[in-house]
Amino acid sequence: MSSKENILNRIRNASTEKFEKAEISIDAITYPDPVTQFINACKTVSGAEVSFDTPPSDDIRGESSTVRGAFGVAENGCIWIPQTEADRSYLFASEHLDIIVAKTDILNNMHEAYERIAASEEYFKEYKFGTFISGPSKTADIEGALVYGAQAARSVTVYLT
Amino acid sequence: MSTSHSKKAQLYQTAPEIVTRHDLTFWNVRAKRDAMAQNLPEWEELRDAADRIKRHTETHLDEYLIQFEQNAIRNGVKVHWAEDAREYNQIVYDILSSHQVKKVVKSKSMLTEECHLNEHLQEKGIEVVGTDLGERILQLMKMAPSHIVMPALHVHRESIRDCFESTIPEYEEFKREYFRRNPQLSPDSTDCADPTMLTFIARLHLRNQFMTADAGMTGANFGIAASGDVVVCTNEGNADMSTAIPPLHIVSMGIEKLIPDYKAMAVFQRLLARCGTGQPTTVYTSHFRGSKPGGEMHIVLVDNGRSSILTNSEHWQTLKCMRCGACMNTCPVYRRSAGYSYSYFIPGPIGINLGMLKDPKDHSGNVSACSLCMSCDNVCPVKVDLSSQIYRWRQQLNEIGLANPMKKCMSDAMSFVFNRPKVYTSALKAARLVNVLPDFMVYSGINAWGYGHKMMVFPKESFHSLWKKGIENVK
Repeated sequence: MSSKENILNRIRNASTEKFEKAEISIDAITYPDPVTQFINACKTVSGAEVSFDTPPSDDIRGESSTVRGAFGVAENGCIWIPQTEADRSYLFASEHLDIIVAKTDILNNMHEAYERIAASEEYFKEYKFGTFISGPSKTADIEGALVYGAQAARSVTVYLT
Repeated sequence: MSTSHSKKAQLYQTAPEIVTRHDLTFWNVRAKRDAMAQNLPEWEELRDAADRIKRHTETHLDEYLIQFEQNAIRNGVKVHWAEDAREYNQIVYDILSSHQVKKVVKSKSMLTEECHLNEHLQEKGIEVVGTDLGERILQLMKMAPSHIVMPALHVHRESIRDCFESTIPEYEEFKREYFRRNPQLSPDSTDCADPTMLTFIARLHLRNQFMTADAGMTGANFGIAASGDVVVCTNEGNADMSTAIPPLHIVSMGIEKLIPDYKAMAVFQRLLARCGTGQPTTVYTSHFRGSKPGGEMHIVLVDNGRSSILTNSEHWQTLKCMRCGACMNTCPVYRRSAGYSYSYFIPGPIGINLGMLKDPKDHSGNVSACSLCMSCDNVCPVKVDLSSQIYRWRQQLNEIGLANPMKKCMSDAMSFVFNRPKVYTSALKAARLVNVLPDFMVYSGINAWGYGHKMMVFPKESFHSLWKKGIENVK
């Protein structure tokens, strides 16, 4: 028998009580003004700059790169960035990243965010990668001291349009 | 009477200032976690949901594994199954060698630690570079992780500076670059053990590794059965750097990492970072559904004892664990004894249990590392009954022949005394003699109760005789 069959058989033979699938409905946090909460989350927890200026063109690639986010999440400052071109390394390798997101695309929480991803046909269609980014790369691996710019972008500006 | 944990923990106590520093560092993480939990009205609802999702998924793992595999194959991913560490190491080596890989960049994965993959690949001549900063520091220092989320938090900045200086060939060049970019700093008066500077040097060092690697490896925080996504959460972006540049991506995933769908993913995404580091999210939550254009993606599903845990009715719930580390941060014993006091590579409450499931003979020395305060049960986001499980292991030590012989002898003696009232009463009367014994006898090695704390003073009259007199008076 193959390893796969052996593993599956051992699982099937486990006499542990089986638990039925429970319906998940969380009464999750919402905000009277999600955009204000999103801005706060970006500035405080994510450590990103927030700008209301005209954003740079979204095809800039280099030390500083620009990308368009699909939507933002107010509870934690995450922005959903589906891969839209063959090489995605600029999202992480650039020293600075500008992310453009529309004020009308700010959701309350991650439940709404994953609902939108699950319902959409466009993400993962051409390129099989997408990521939530919340501010610049960080580490606290040396004595717990927070340092920005570990491996990926050292700074992030969120342009709200 | 000491267990392997208490012996090592005792050695650790010889430097009290290090113990205090360790204790405070992790207590701080616990406090940040509390702030996160208290600011979210639905916190307990989330824990409850996470528990129910995991109970269901782990007890229907066969169905979800098949669904996950089918979706991954549809996404163009190659799926492999490994029964144990040996098979896993072989599969990974075969993939790498068929692509003539000389160097692998790798994000943190406890599974690769569990299977000793790094050592295996290095013996076969493949260079493995850990890219999480903490992991890289340990790799350069030739040390093992002391925590599963913050593996090198016990290492002090001065030692990291010395290590970088002696192991990174371009150290001086990177240092000059740091001062070029920060002209306001003077090279003469700057402390080279500054975490910002050390992180910058590591960044340049690791950039070179990403650019010259032939393959990237990641673990998996979650596998989503409904879509075939592998989800990897990091703060540094090292998993993304490891996979965005080299063409080959290998995912190592324990079979218990599966969750059903995106609805479940939202629950776990919200809990993981809040519990682990006290942040509302990790910086990157990346979904890998397939390879890059022209690249290859492989997923190795690893059992290595997990399916056997499922058959253990008392301990199967350890499979619900998502390795956030919250139980370690809150554990008073972990905080004061640190990772190396435990014999299993995962320390703290979850590590005590996983170690016993791996091999009770090797790891029974850890079950003493618990005061049964149950703080871990209260913080665990998926409600693993960690302390009750540790309690059950202790009850089973005798059955599996691992009870401490001295403790066993003492408890047999106690049972003899307590079952014979006359012997008990005479012993109680005699106990007062201890009060007048000289210290060298009271605090000798024979009396375990005199170790580490002062003995009680036995009262003139026992509760037993006072009680009897009281009854007489009432009469």
